Amino acid sequence: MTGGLFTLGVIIIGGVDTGWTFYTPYSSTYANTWVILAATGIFINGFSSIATGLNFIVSIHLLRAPGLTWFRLPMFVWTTYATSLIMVLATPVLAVTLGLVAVERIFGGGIFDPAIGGDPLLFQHLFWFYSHPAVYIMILPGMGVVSEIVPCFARKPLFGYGFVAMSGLAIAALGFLVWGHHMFVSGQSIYAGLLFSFLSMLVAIPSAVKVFNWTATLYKGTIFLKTPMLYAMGFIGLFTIGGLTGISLASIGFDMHVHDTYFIVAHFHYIMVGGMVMAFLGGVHFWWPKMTGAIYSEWWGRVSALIVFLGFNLAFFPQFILGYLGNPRRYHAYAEGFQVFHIMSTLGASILGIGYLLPLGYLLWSLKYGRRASRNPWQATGLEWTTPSPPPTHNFGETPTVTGPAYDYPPAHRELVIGEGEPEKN
Amino acid sequence: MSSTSNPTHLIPYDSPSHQRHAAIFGLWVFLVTEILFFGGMIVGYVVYHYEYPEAFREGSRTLNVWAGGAMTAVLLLGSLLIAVAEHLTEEGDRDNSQSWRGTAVWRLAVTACLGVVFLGLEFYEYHELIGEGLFPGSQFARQRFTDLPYSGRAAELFFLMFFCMTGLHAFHMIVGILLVGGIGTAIQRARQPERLGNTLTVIALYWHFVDIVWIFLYPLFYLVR
Ligand SMILES: [Cu+2]
Repeated sequence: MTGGLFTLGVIIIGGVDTGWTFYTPYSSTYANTWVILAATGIFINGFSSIATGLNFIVSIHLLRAPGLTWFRLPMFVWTTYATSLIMVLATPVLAVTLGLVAVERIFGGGIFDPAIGGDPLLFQHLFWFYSHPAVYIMILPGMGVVSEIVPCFARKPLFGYGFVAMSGLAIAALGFLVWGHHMFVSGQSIYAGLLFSFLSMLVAIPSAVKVFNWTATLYKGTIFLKTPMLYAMGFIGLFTIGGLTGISLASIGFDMHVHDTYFIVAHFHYIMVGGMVMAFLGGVHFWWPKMTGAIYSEWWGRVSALIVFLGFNLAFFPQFILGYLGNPRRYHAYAEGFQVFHIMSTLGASILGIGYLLPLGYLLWSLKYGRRASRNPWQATGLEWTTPSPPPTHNFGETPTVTGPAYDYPPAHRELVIGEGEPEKN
Repeated sequence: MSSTSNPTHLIPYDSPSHQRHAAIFGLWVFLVTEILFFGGMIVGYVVYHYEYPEAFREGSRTLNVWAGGAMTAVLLLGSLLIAVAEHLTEEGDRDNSQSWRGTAVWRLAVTACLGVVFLGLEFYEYHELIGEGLFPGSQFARQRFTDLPYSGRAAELFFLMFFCMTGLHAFHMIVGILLVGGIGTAIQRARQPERLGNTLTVIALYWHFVDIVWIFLYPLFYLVR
């Protein structure tokens, strides 16, 4: 909150003219705006990230219920664990880097100013040492959500549980070794570039393990295309496109060609919006009955999931083509031939906007007028579904004991009714 | 679960030892973040030491090795005392006796005082350096280092790193002194001082960590010449 106030305040009183990356020496020497205030906000937010990550790590290690062994944990807990590791390991480096920028601005001296002996590349290295893993901070929880939704709506155990769990940790670990792929054109050594290129491609392996395991979970499952499942399926497809273009970007030659073009923008959004935001919406729809005790309109849910999917693709797929053809990012003007793609993109963004507004409407509506949810409207496994909806402050009156693996879905029966609001009889 | 009016441990934990385990584990994770925090600066130090070895040698010569050595000794003595105090608490917990309280508090007080002595020495050194015009910025006495790269500004980098890293360490020391002083006072006043054992252990761990940071900073700035 405090950190957010700082950064929002900065936007209101005039913003910063450094770009989001705060590259030096723009930020340290030449910017005339509120760099230090913005850095303070980020610094405070960093503290909260670290504290959150620390809390999750200790809780997951020491506060599991009896019988809840590591390999019985829900996948969302595994990915939260991987995310927390990144948060505690990467955030301090960003904090110290911003601290050095602030010191340089306040006291002068040239830590990052090449004109007086400093090394601006050092800033980039430290910055991306945090900011690449930060992307995985965003996507890993999304992968966890999808790993929860897919087994539930395919009525099958998650395929290759151990591989899915370990691939999350592998993504977190590899994430620390690839930051240099943001610096292929920065003048770093070509050998460093080669190594970073190779390591970045390695990230594709654990990511693909996840995608294949979700797909294998669907195989011969009894699939219920409820709203959360639509989002999860959208995630799998869009994340795959984002991931595959990521491998192409990791190869230095191709990266030189599309560097700083719309191709990067499209790749990033396929992972972050097509991936993370889809997973977020899927998670919201999956746990909404649990969180609020209300059932939303399934019809509206499916319609807006479809609108989001179509709008997203229309908005961002043309940007791959634009970037490949050489349209640079961060310019408001472009060559005439590109106009048709820009129009498609704008149209798609508007449709996407509608798709985002709809849930705001029907979810809020359901709070007041929706049917009341039972404990377990999706017939899902997992401890949270054994509590009332919404759960009381003390989640469990009595500490539950876990006796079986996660995703112990019974052999599916087609006539199973899920998503119903009638309270069950206990 | 914990329905007694005077529970020995907080709600999510099964037992006092469970809670203690969680506190210590949590602090270790926190110390890992601290290592990365200082690690970022040490990377900066290494990069500039590699780029401007001459400047770092010259800069280091202006520092007083003996003062730095004395500071190191003071810190290590404090670490020893706090370890002893913590050990006393653990034993007191086991024997259910109160006799340990006075000795533990006494040792904590000395530790905090040694911390203050350390900071006194450090700030005296800062004062000297600033007096010689060696604080980075526009006032920096770069005419002393004209034969170094960037007409002496490379030496400024040495002092920039010196003030940043030792300053950050000093900030951690201030926090540590407040914590050690605070826990000493709390143990002195508490009706059941043995229940502060976890807090004391955690603070002691933090204090040791801050000492270890100095064990790295001292050779980096004073001894590598
Ligand atoms: Cu990256």
